[in-house]
Amino acid sequence: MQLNELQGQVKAALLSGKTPPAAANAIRGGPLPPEARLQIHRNNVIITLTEALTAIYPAIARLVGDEFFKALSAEFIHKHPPAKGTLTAYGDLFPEFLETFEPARQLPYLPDMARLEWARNEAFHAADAIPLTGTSLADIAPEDMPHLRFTLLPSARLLASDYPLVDLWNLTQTPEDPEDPVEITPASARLLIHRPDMEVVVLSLGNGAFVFLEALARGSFLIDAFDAASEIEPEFDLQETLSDLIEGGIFATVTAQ
Amino acid sequence: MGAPFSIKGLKENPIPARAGIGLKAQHYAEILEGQPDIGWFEVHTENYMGAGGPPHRYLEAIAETYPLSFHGVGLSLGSADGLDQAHLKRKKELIEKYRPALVSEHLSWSSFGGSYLNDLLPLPYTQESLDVIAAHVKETQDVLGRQILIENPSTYLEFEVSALPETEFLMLLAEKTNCGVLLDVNNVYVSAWNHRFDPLAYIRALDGAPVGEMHLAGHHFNTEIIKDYPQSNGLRIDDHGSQVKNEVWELYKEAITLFGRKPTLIEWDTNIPALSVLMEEGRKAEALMSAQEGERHAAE
Repeated sequence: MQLNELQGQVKAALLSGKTPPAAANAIRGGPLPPEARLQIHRNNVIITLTEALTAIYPAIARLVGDEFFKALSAEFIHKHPPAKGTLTAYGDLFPEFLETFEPARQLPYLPDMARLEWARNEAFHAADAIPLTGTSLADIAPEDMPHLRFTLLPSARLLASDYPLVDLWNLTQTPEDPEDPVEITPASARLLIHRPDMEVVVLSLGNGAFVFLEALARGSFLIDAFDAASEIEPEFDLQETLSDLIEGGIFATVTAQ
Repeated sequence: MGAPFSIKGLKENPIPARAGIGLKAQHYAEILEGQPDIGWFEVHTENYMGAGGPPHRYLEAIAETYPLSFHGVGLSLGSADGLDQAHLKRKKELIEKYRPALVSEHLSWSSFGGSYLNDLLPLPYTQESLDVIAAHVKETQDVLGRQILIENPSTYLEFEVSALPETEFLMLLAEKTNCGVLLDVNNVYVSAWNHRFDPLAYIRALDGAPVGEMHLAGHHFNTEIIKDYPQSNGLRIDDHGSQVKNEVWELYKEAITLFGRKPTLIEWDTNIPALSVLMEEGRKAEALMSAQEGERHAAE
């Protein structure tokens, strides 16, 4: 058998859980049959990839419990094995997968929780940048203010959800296991995930501030971002929001027109 | 062999023929605060493929003091359908940045048809496999502009089409590509048990010249499987999750007697213990290296 064909057969045996006869025939038996030998590798694949997913999605694992998470991961791994040899970037499709995974449907907040965890993972590994400080705005002439453009840190991610993601997250940070099922007070979340230095930070934003940052992240002028924010939140306070965000270490650069 | 320039002030720091330890995130702070006497650190290259963040911040600081070895687990040199060029490019960037003294990969495959299985799968030892992996080792060495070491795998299965012993395959690979060999003594022991060959004969069949590094690790002895397969003598599973077993230390003594003192890594990747436990294993390896050297001098 050519190497190409053999590797295709072994891959099928490891990912499908069923050994194609050609794969079994290609392996020497002896005291242990090929199936028992392949099982060692099948375990390696599932166990190590489940560990990789647990490292990126610890809150999901806490919320659903170990057994359920293992079943969930096994299904995900079979459907979406990693495409790359870098596991810190494995699991980007997990949130979408959770939307379609029937046994998880009773927990409708899971996909958005997974989006939060994926954003945290991306923020952790994103390129470093030194956040802007208040002094960066000191030299800008008042007439230039409306047409400033800001860029966010490479780590910054915005996430909107109809579920109280921060409350859910906090539940997973206690030593006691979360109640089953988790009781939540309905609330939405508008979050900014970013890493100003070594720690990933999650900030809860008001509706106005969220729309404001979304606009700035798209490259809008300050004045247009302000208009978008005021439309959704008439009492939106530009000065206060901007100074809070700068203090939070969110922006990487500011440029005057 | 590395290019004669340095980035961020990091220069190539040669690896001494001492024990090294696999670098783990849970030990970063202790290492930086205590600056313990450890010969060198080995990292899994893939853990540093992100653009930034704490992994790089810590590794940059550790590289200021300690020599580094970059051990790849994801390049899949044995894949019939070619190397992931983006992976190779990122590896090159990391090597140019950190300038590790040793760079190693495995005699195995992990990827096929666009899927990465995260396991070091064995190759059939055939002429075709040798041509495939030799071409990939050459390609990697050309892109990186340096020699890499290739590690013997721990294996649980062999292919019917295999025509060469693993030792011969590895030696031919070294000859064809000028790669070095990373001799994992635990893997020799594990594979020898699983396929019932003599581990000492394996080591004696190697030429010592390409051996540039050794690995030591713990493994799990699965005897449960004997219940289902009474003819079997159990399976040794390479899990890097415990202390080095006595039989493996014995084999290591033979290896350093044959090949001399080599940088030797204590690998421990699951159930990671306190740094002091890893250092104790390292001291054990160094004591054996010194004892072996003493015997050699006494004999001269």
